[in-house]
Amino acid sequence: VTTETTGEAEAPTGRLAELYVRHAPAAKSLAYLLTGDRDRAEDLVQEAFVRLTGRFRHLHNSYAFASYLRRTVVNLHVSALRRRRVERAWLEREGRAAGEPGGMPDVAGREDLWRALQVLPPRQRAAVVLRYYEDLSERETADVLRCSVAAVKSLVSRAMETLRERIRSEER
Amino acid sequence: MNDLEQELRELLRHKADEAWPRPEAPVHVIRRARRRQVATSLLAGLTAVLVGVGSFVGVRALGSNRSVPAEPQLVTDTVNGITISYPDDWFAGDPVALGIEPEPDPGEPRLVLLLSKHDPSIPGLFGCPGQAKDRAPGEVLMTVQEQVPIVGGEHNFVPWPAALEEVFEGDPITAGCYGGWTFYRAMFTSEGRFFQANVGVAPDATSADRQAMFDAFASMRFTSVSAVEGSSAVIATGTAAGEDWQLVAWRHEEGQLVLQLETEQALTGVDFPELEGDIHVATHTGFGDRTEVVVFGAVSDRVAEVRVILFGAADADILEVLPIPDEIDPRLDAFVTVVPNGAVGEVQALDDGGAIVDRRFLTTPAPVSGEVPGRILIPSGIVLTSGTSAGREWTLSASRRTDILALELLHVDGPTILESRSPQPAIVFTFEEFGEEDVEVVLFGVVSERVARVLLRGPDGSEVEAEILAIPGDVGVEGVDAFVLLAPRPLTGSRVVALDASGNELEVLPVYSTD
Repeated sequence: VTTETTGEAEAPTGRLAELYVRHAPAAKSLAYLLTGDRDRAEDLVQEAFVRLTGRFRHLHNSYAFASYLRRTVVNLHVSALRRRRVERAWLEREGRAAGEPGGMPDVAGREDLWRALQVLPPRQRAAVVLRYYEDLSERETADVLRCSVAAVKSLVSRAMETLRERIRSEER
Repeated sequence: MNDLEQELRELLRHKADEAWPRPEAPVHVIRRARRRQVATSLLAGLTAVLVGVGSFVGVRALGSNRSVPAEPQLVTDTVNGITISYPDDWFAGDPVALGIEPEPDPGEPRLVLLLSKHDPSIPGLFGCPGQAKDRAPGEVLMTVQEQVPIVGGEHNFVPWPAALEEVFEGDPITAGCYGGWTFYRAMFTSEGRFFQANVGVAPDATSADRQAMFDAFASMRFTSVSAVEGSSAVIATGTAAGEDWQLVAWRHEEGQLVLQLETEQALTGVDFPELEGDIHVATHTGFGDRTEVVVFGAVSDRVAEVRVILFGAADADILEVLPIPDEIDPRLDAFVTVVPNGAVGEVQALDDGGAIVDRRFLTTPAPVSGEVPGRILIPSGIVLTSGTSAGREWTLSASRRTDILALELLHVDGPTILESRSPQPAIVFTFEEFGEEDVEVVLFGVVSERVARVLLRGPDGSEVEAEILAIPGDVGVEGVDAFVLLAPRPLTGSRVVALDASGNELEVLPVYSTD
């Protein structure tokens, strides 16, 4: 069921709206780092919020909404790209996009790193963002990604190797 | 920390700190969230009761002595990666497959196992055993929910094996459903997964059954998440409403086939531990302009051809049966096609002699009128009643989806759909708010045949009576009726009351509205 309200609608109020205002900004930042695209990040967070609030009464620790929202954002992002064919198409598209002039301002010479980050496979990228932006431990990252600690180590290691290689090649 | 790691941290923080232009909550997101909250609260009685059983009233570790009952014999099953041994005249299963719990979304807690002494299909057994139609004496129940552990909260989960602890005795809120029951809980982790088990013991349960349940709990063994996914194959690809899709078949760790219809933005998955009959039909919407819907599903190996007959169409659409590789599932094949959104019809499975061996009713959600100019509102089922609210015309219709009654409130903004088997114990409902804050709400639902009247009782004691609507025999669902009423706002604090012919209150449900 989709009901779209467009135009200058008055901002909604109430418990759900408060929940959204409180938790959406951090989730959007995370989603943006995962997707590299503002619109997709916005969509991802909205979808995660709707899905999560639908089950909110069943959450064992309802006060930990932020943690559940983070997990749902990551899972939605990774699962949407899970299948190899989709992932391949995504990589090709992102690869092209990465080569185009970006809409973001140059960040102290780090755009090369940002571009390299964008072409990482989704799970590698998620692992890097969770480790180096969310500051999660390897154990916590493994919990979010539903994998072993060893798998997280492998994901991060491969990601860092790829990033180093890409930066080196851009410098050449 | 090396230079690259440091640089990465700074870059990520810088990118994340860039301001987002719209801090307020989008109206359409909040409305979707509200509707989803209401819908899921209706369909998940067991979780709501067992997970929300209140605070600890006393902690008593149970003895870990395991006695081996002389009778009956034990059987061992694996459900969702949990292997459990239990008396062979008990029932174990997947709550989602049994229709007791709706399929949750990725990343959300999920009931993965239930175990009961009596058949879980007994109406009310898991939602409210105290009012179950065929009251089951001496019941013992267990549910296991796979949790999403809170980061930093893992200490709440002890390594398996764990002990059950008593947590609940006679909460007055649920006393009508669980009067005199004793509840036990354990939160534990195994193989990288996190679980919460709840055990309920009826006051008249025998000590042998209680012990058998504890033994079953203690017998559980778990499979790691990393083993969940097996081999997969892309069965078909295509385009609907301008968006590419692919149908993927993969094998679950427990051997059953999972079919997934995927696009870049959405995914619909169906799993087939066992096929009921010879065909299962699913639909996937969510495509760009929503003018088309992908219809897909599985058929048994005796099906040679699938036909889709849309009402009003001149000819049947004859579909090829798509083979699924044997290593994924040797029993089943698949089919897929694209139909116009709003279409209603039938999907038929035929054997190699041309005989129809099974058939399923096909409905599709109508497209949203705002996105498809000139759309004609076509109800998915048999019209029960119609009306106007907030200047919007609406139609309430009923149809059968597999063995579930589906009520559809169709209006210019799209359909609002309520699916229900038999209400537990008496009533389920949902409502459509139509956006405006100062107009009435259309509230509708399903009631059991025992219900003679439905009232909406406001916090001030005012009452609005619903119109009871008989479900026509053509729909093919028996034992239930529908109802509809126009509810005044605000709904907060209101309750929906189901009464029998003698005026006895069979069930009272609060209306979860955030208005």
